[in-house]
Amino acid sequence: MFLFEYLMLIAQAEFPIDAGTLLNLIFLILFLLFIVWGQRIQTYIIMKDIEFVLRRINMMKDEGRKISLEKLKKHSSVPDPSGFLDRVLEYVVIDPVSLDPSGIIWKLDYLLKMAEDRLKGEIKNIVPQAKENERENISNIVEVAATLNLLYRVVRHYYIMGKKTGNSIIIIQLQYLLPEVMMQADALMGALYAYSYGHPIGDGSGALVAANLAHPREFKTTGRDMEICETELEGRRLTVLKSKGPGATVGYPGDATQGLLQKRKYDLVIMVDAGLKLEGEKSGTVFEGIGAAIGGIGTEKYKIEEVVVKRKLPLYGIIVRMSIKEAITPMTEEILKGIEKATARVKEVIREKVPEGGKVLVVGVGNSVGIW
Amino acid sequence: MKHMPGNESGERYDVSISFFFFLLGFLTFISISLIFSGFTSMQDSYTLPGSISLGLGVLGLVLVGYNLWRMQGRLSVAARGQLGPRVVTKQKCRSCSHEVTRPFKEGDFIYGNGDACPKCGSGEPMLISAIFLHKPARG
Repeated sequence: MFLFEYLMLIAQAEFPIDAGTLLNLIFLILFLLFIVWGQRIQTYIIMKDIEFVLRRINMMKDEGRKISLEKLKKHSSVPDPSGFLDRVLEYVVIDPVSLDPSGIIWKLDYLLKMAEDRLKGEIKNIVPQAKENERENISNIVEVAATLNLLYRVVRHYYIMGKKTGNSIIIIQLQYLLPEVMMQADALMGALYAYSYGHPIGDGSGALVAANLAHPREFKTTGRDMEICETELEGRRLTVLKSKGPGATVGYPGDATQGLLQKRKYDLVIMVDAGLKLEGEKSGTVFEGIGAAIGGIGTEKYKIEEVVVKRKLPLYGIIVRMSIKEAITPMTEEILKGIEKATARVKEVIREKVPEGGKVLVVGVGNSVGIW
Repeated sequence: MKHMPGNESGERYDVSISFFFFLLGFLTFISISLIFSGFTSMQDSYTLPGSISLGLGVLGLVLVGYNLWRMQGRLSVAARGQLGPRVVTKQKCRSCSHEVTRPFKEGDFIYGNGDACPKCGSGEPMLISAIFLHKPARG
């Protein structure tokens, strides 16, 4: 009641100008304001969008560090591995010089292997009691946390640079990239949890197809982080390759395939991998192609293409479609169904293209986390 | 967009915070105009229309305040929405082919050993045939 009486008192007071004039005045002020400072206001609004995304990525980055630290502490031989972790999160691989591109593949291959060896070696020193697959998972968790850390630093760099210089071109470009940045950060968060628990991920599609073909036979370790199994399909001899499970690793299918093809004769090589779908396409659908079905930086693909071209071997690729997020987060039901279809399709292709008594090499490409 | 084929998850990554704040700003402006017009109407003794304008204006401002409060809440939990995906492990008995699906446990892996079969009681661990992200049916 008090409030009503108070409002009535205000209403009875006499205002110097009427409402219409005041509104016109406000509109005039706003009009002039937008003419003079329109761009500045727009830039300010965009900066707020970027700040929002930056805050989210910062939280994701902190979560990544927290999960990595928890995993390290669980098995650690040192009381506080946070110093080690902070150092590892900033590791970089310095690109080899590309002015003379001849031989760059081997340099890159060497550098990547060295970077992996260093990370795995240091993690082994910190968590010597952990099992091999747990160490592989920890390495992957740390790598994901490092990627989130890099993403945060890059977005923050352009945000601060845009703010410092007031350069709307930098700010607008960053704003256009924000949805993709968020998509990537979101996918990385999913990967963090998947590696943390040891869930199979969408990228493991190729490895799971290989495991399906080999089951119930067991795989044997071959080369660096790879496994091999000799099996049969209706009179055809199958050599199945996949990365070593159930720890998180993609192995080096290029090295393993090259080694095998140099020593043995095959009638057909089939590669199975997860492939990024285009927007609007259904996850878990299977498509086929000719060539090396393998992603990554290109070193493994190069090795396979080199040996296949030299031997003039038919090389088929079978791919399970999925989004970037599905590729690095726990496997969904649709992708699992896609893997069943891909396994069936591999068998069909072998029956169609290879006569009884023939030899086939099947390479299941992808991360074997959560897959035997 | 939500019902486009291939976008079953309905995920969106566009950052619409500016549009949201623009709408809030617009609503604030309308609310203040309504409050002002309510006052002047009451001044001219149009008590009922004035009270309605005033009430609507105040309601608008309350809505703006509520949305800002909700937004603040969303910002602070934005990165935690991913936690606890519903991953399940499907196991198949090697003797009687009985299938059991249970929440994923750390240490499970496809083609690894699961729990003992609850149906035939063979004592042999079941085979883990699949591990996947279970999406609840949409209501």
